[in-house]
Amino acid sequence: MMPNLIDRIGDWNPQLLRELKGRLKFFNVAIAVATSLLLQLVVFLYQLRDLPDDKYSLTGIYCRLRETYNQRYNLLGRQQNFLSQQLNNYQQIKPSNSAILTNLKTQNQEATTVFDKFQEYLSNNYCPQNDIDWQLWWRDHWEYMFLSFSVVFVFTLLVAGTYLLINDLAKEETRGTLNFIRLSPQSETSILTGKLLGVPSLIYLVILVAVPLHLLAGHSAQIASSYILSYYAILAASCIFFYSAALLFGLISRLFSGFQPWLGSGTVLLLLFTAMRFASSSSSNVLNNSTAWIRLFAPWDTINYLFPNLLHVYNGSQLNSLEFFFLPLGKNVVSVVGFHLLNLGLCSYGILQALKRCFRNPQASIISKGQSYLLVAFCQVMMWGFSLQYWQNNANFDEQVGANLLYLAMYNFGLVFSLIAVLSPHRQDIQDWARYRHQEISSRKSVWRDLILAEKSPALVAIAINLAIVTIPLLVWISITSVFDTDYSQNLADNNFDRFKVLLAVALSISIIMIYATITQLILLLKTPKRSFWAIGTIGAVTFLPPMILEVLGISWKYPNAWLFSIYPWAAIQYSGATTIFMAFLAQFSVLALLNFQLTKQVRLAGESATKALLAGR
Amino acid sequence: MLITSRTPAAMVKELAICTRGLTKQFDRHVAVNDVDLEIQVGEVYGLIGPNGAGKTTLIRMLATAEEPTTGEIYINGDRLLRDKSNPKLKRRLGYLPDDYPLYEDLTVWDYLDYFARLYRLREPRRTQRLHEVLELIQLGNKRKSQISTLSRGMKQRLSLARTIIHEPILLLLDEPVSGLDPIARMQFREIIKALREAGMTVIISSHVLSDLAELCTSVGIMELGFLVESTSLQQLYQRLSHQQIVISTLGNLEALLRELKHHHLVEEWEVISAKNSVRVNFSGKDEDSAELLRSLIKAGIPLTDFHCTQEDLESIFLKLGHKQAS
Repeated sequence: MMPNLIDRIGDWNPQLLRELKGRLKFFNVAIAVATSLLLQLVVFLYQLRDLPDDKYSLTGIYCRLRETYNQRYNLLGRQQNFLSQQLNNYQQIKPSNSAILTNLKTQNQEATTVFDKFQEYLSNNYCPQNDIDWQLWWRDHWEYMFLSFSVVFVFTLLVAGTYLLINDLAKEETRGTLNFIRLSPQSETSILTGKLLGVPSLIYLVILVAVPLHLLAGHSAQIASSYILSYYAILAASCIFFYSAALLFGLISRLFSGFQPWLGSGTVLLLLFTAMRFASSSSSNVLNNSTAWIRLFAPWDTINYLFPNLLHVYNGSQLNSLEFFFLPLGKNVVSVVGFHLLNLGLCSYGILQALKRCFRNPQASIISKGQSYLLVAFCQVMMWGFSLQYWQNNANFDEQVGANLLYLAMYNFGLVFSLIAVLSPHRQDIQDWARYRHQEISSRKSVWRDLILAEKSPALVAIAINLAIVTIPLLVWISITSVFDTDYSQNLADNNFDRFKVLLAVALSISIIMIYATITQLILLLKTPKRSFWAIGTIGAVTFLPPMILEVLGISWKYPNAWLFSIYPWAAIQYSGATTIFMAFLAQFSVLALLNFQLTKQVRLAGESATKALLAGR
Repeated sequence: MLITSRTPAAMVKELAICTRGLTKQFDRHVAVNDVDLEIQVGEVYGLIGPNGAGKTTLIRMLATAEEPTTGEIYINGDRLLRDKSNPKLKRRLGYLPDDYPLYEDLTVWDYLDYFARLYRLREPRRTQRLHEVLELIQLGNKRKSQISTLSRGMKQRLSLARTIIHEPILLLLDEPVSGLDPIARMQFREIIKALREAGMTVIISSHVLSDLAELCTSVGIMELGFLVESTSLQQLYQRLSHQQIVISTLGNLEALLRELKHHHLVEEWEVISAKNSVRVNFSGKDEDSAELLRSLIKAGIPLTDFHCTQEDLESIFLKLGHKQAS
């Protein structure tokens, strides 16, 4: 039976069998099972700590007599309170008939004694065992157990799993064993699925051994099976997403040799902790902006939506008011879980495409130019989708966009900078492209087509197209909004913007990013092997140094126009006239043109034949 | 078009390997330069050349471990591409790199079983093939051992087993005997001979030219990224190797040399004084050497040794003067 099963696994996915054989050794399995059982025991015993003993308080929440005693306690308390207040009042007016005062004093004394005695009775007497509501106690504590396991599962699977996967793949890549697998006729999907299922197999075992208790706890806590299933679906989708990201990171991160598993799983841990911290905050509206998308990669919000007792958020889950393009996503559990799964599914699919590319050809860029356009468009849909939600106190469409502009700008800057890093080809690729492009059969294609789609061509045109995709939704908003109309009394943030200036500022932003992309490409054409570091350093310096210098020297206040030449021209447009901004744009555009002229020259130089170089004395 | 005119389909079909304009450039350095390699089916092809001549890069490109900068590779007439995972073509290739990395956490059997499965070998053929291969590499008794416990020679043979487990028809071996002791090398030679008899086409790059002379049917010499020589071993010997005769005598060497000077087929000689013998470069045929022997005996020279040898591959290679690394 067993050998037969193993054989069938091996025939279905040889990689999975290989991973299982390397890992599921007796000693490892024993340790995994023991760890899991120990963990379950600890969680169970921790709950048993609260088990009502024969000294359980009469007013404890699991004592059935609690109601009666509480009523009596409240009644006596009120009586005593009433009398002491009356006494107080009489003492202040000092009535002529002192008998009333004496009488009141006696009554108050008596009431206090009765109350004290009752309190004493409560603290000296305990709830009889047969009056303890065991059913309720167990139900609540099963729920605590269920929730504890739910949290432990997420952390264990995601953090430990990503560590193992990155470690495994990085090791194979440095040792060179992946080459043999690449040579085999197996598809990338089959190999990667095998890795995904096999490498964290011991972690899966730890979890699987705990699943029966988790299910039992959920069932005993009377949690609906559909909710438990939804939890498992989200857990599985999160695993697929984080694991495929881990595989990709393991494949491409040869730069940080030895350190990458710690870096990868550390990042996941940090992300999970931060997201959990945010999800348990009770401030409202925090999900009604475009940052919601990032939050939804961590499972906490959705899990807390399913089981509200997980994080005890004061006024209900923040997801309740979540919208996407004004569609009320947070209204029911199907749309919340469905959207979460859809988001993770689409992102995992995207990562899988990148993985396939990188697995087959480790020297290739992570995504192709064509894929980058899809990625950027997808990101815009998600970011704008979460930007367009009705806030409880902010229902105006323009204010809505205005409040999200900063987030959108930050996301898109991050996105475009990452794309510049990913898409810009290095010296060798440019050289191959420039030198041998004419020899390819497909070279009848135009240069433009090559620049837009081909693998090794310079990435500037692709970056420009991506910037266009980023800008289009923004331009649509700028042209339809009434915020920038001159007769509109309530300008955006009371600043004196007009539409033309805003459009110029958009053009300025685009041109400065294009300048950065060109500089990156020029540096990546350098001969030094450390060109990546140089590129990162230079771009970091030109992005952050000018604003810092402007701030430190105080120039930014005296001459706000200086901001026009920084990464953030928006700081200047309220002080600068349209002509000034236009002149700044022209200046930047000339710099861009010059840099591109230089780049074209460099690419031509890289593409010349050895003979030509020799004759020219290079 | 230029490329198709260089590769008539009919011609390409008969060849196990055919490359057209294969080039790999690392920055300004051209590691493999416009190589047109043609290897017939069933040949054992030895690649020789100094370090850095481009042998490893060429083999890596043939194994799709490296992408050519430009040029095409045809395996049995089918175009080999790296990005598409053309599984049929890849099943025909077996590649053994010079550092032969292994999975230390598996046993010998599990390791081979894993690769047999990767190449979609099904039962009962798989077990049968595993036994065959283990017998060939003489690791049958080690099949339950952890790979980490094997010696270097065993690991090397295991890697070879991994390379041939799926019965490829084309083997690419990069420096397969480097770092092996003489016995391991001999065992390895025997395995390659067995594979040659089984009809596999093999490419071996190696610095041990005596091994290649014993194994190969053809050789290619690479220098500075160019394939400067590609011919059958027989033709190479015919063209460049001289027949030599070693003659030893008990008597006076002078008398022997005097006799030799008179013979018109003797081109030059070298005295090996320690053994009282002479190595003669002889351009005649077998009958001519028999005539030489007869004339020496007639002249009354007391001969103790008279045998014909041929210049070996190593001296031919050195004679060609390909010593420059790129």
